Amino acid sequence: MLRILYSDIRKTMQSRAFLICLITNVSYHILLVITLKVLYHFFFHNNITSDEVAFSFASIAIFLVTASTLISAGEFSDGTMRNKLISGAKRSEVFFSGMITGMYQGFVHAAAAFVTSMLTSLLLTTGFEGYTIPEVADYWLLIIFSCMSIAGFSTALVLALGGRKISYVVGLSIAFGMKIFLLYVQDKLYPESGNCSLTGVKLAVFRFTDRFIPYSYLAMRPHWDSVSYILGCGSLILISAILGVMIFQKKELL
Amino acid sequence: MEYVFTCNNLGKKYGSFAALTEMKMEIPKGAIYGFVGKNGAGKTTLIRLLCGLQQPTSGSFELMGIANDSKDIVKARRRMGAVVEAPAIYKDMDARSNLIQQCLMLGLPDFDKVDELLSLVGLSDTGKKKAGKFSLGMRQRLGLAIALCGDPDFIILDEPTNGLDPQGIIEIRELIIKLNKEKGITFLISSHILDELARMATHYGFIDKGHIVRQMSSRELHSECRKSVRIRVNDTKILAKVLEELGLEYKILDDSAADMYAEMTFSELAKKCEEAGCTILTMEERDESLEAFYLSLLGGGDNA
Repeated sequence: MLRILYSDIRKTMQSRAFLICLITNVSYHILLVITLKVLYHFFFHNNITSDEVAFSFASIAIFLVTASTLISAGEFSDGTMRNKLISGAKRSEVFFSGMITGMYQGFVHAAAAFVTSMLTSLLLTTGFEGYTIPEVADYWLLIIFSCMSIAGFSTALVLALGGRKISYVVGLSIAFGMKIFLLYVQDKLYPESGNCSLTGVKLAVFRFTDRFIPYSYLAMRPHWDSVSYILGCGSLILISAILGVMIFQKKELL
Repeated sequence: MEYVFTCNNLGKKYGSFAALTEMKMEIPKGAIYGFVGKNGAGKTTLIRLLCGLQQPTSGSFELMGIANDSKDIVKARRRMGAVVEAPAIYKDMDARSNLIQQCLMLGLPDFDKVDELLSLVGLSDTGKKKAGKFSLGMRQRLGLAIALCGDPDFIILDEPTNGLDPQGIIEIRELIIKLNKEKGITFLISSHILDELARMATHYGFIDKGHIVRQMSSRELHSECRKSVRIRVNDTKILAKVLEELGLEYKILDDSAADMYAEMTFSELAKKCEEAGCTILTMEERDESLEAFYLSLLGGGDNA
């Protein structure tokens, strides 16, 4: 499987779509910091802190990572999936290689965002005020794991759907739907004023979503224990891998 | 005879539609197998089964002697190359990178063959140009080069000359013949350019409505393509009467021309026509085209 994995990663690194997503990722953060710095300087006569901008990637990560991993659908439309199967790879190997490559994309995006964030924090902000260094490290580690698990899920979805155009719609719809739903969930769980008024099953479901669904980890700073986060990310990867490979093994490809 | 591919009662259904039914086919080792059939006859379905993209719903096939339900079928597929429908290439990579990519997928220890293959298909001077910017002809060549990575014993080509200029068509044809003769590579070629196919195929398989109508060698095919004599006369009605009397098979084309499917000396026919009051203007020997043979065998106007 390693030969397929290596060729998949090599292909991804040379992919124009992936590079565009990567440039978008870095540019977004730099532009955001510069814009805020200018606004703060002229309107508030103040300087920005790292707390305000360091984790801006988390707000776009779901869409960026999902869009980036949808590239793998091109394997089907370009016919290169056929080359893989003819080259003697088993379907399971092709699937797992694709999924790991997707996770690698998630890692690269999160890592690039981390480096950009640290550099801009160092050069353009006054530093962290509300975070300690271990908290910053924890948060970034969580973002990286979340991105990897979301990317793995998104790639598994594309492969299971056989690269059909519907996979773009389903992938981005899930990302968009989860973003909206999680905003609602976290607004109910952590209201800006007053206490949480949820009870019973609704509270349990919302708490479960907030605690174990990796999409929610990108919405606000970490507030659960590490085990919950590892369980959430690990479970999403495991479920995507098991269900995905079962479907992909029987998939009729064109 | 040794075969690289055989199938027995192979069937493939999409819902209630039977794309392949009780198909029996053999591709002899070392052959250039021309695969001919109408659009929707089942050619691509068979190729998809061969490549492992889909599974048959009934029957079985053997690839290089390995059954399709065997775990070792992946090993047999490693000895295959294919260019099916559009060439499978990475559009963001240049030609060289595409070949390296295929070498990596095949687990080849080095990329020594890459330059040789690029030169073989005439793409050695494309430099850093991305494959996405290649013309259709260049993509076909690159697809063929990718199929040749790993020294395959069996190559499947779907419309290999599609999009190529006349010079390119000749080069690809010569390349296929060269690879077949020098390296003994077996080819399965599906092509709509029948005259082009006839220039290289050693065997033919005609598929219609999901099953093989007929398989034959090129020698058998040529012997079955009837010879005819095209006669131009001043009155084909009289000519028809003469040919009827002689008991010969013929076909009237228009008021002044007819095809006669028999061998007869010119003087004898001329004498009979003269007696009947018909003047022969010209006579010319013709081969019935391969295209006409395909049409008669498959029965339709939109064949191949």
